[in-house]
Amino acid sequence: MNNPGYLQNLYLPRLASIEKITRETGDIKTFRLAFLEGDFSHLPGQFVELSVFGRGEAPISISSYFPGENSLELSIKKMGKVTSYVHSMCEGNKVGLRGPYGNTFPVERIKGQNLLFIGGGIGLAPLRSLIHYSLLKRGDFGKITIIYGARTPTDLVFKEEIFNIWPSLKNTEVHITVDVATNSWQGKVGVVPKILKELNPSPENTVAFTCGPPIMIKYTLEALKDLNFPEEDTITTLEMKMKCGIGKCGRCNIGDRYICLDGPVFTLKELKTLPQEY
Amino acid sequence: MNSNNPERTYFLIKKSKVQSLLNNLYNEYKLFVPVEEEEVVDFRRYEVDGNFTLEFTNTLLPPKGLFLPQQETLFTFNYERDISIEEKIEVSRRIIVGIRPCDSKSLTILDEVFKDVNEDVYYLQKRNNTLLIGLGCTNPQIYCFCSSLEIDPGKDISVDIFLTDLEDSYLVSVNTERGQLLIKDFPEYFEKAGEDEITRALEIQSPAREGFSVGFDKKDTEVFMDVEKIFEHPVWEELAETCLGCGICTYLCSTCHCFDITDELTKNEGRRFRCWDSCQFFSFTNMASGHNPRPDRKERIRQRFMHKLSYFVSRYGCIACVGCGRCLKYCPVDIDITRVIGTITNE
Repeated sequence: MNNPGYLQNLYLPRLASIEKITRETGDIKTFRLAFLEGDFSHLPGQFVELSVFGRGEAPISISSYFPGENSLELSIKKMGKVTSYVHSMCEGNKVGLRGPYGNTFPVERIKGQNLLFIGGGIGLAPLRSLIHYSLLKRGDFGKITIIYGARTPTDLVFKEEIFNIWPSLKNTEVHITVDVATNSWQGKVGVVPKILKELNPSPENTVAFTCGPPIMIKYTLEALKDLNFPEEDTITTLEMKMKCGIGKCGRCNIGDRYICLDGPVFTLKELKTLPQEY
Repeated sequence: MNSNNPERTYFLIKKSKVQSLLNNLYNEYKLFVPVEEEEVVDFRRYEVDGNFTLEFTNTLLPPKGLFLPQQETLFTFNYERDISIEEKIEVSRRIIVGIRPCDSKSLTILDEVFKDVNEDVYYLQKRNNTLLIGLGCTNPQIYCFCSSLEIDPGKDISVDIFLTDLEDSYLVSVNTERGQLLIKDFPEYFEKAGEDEITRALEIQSPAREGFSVGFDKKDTEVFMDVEKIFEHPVWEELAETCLGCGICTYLCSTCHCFDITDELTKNEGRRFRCWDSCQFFSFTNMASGHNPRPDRKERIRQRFMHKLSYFVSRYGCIACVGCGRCLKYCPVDIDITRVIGTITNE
């Protein structure tokens, strides 16, 4: 009987150390993780399975792009068992990582285009990997516009980047909004799709990327349609309860797709071929 | 997983010699045989001179559990100082005796999933180390419909060795090289089969293909490929009214393979394991955020049928059903896949 001794065990996580923890909001922290051994490379849009040993695994999108650095950032909202536990961990603690998994944002196809990012809440996390990528390869892209909103000013993530770093870059615009303002808030007030309509960006030579809570995505997609963004240039990333990440466990099955293999990134055109179960 | 199909050879083994053969095989293999306990037959580990039966309709549980156990440890970990991980992979050589043609077909269907794109070492290692001895059906039960899926209950070339019951002996059809090697290792049990025994086996096999009381025309299932049309069919609402959401159809299904992965912790040690899960459960797709893409029974029951008859077909090229009939037999409210297909196609 043949022994497939050459088969790699895809369920074994690699150990990584928590190098830095940044508190973003009351319930979101960004963890910078470095692998103890081996290389790591990924492209924007992919996710990893994060292991907290003894608590389990959770699929988390990579929110950074640090090529050649063997490290990555995960911005994690305290939600379930694994994410709650990881929130109690300290710098220097060890976690496990499997991946990267899933497809990527179409980084080649969008070369030479203007990029429009529309994020809501923690939904900016997966978009941030592509924002990092496009800023690193700034010459490959035209104008970069970022529209980002959260419920209140304290719910905004990546504050240093959205307020200080990104707006100061050439040919880069950042528009921040909140659903509900506080007394000290000087910026825009209103939900993301409303701000998007007000800004009225041209679909000319522009690709739109959106991620956020389901209700925000729904109205953002409608707004983009009203603004005449073609379906193939409207791109989002889906969330499902992915356990294995490698197309076996069946949990992220929508129609004939597995979100962990064929997604999580989909154009609106592709999304429309799927049953509405996301 | 038989890549080699040499010239098929035929032998005979006397029924009276089977126990002695099993005792001999026991020395070299982990053996799994059908055992009857309290009127239920299931595959169990064979011990020397242990009980077994080859006179049964089918096992309660499908043999998928021998490859994708209901609960399987993937690795253990210890973090007294640094975290250390120890993988747990079953590597022993095994034989399953008495697997029915429907169930062996289910393994070739599961192979598609576990080989596709990313190879699943836990499943494939067991699959590669397991020799299958199949057993022909001469008397399908009233819930069986394997013939609707073009499975021949009397003949199975996907197993290494296939047995046909000839009353006082079995005709032993050897399909693979590793099947031949096994026969070669134990020549004292096997005699060459003559033309008349082979003919007699064929005569026994053919009535098995007739005795079905439920089923459908496989061509009729093609309508399920039109997802948009079938997705909003009223049948899902109707089924959801009776379905209890118990998940027995998925647990007993020989092709359902969805699983969960979870951790268990004791002091400084723990294990990560996977266990069967079911698309019929609310928690299957419920996310930590509270968002659930399939929140109601209607969506979940539709998922089971659409996955088998449509999504799986477009992904892997075959229907994820072998007509073993377990879901029909054990569904507490008589939900019947053959009737679901009938309802949709007879419009």
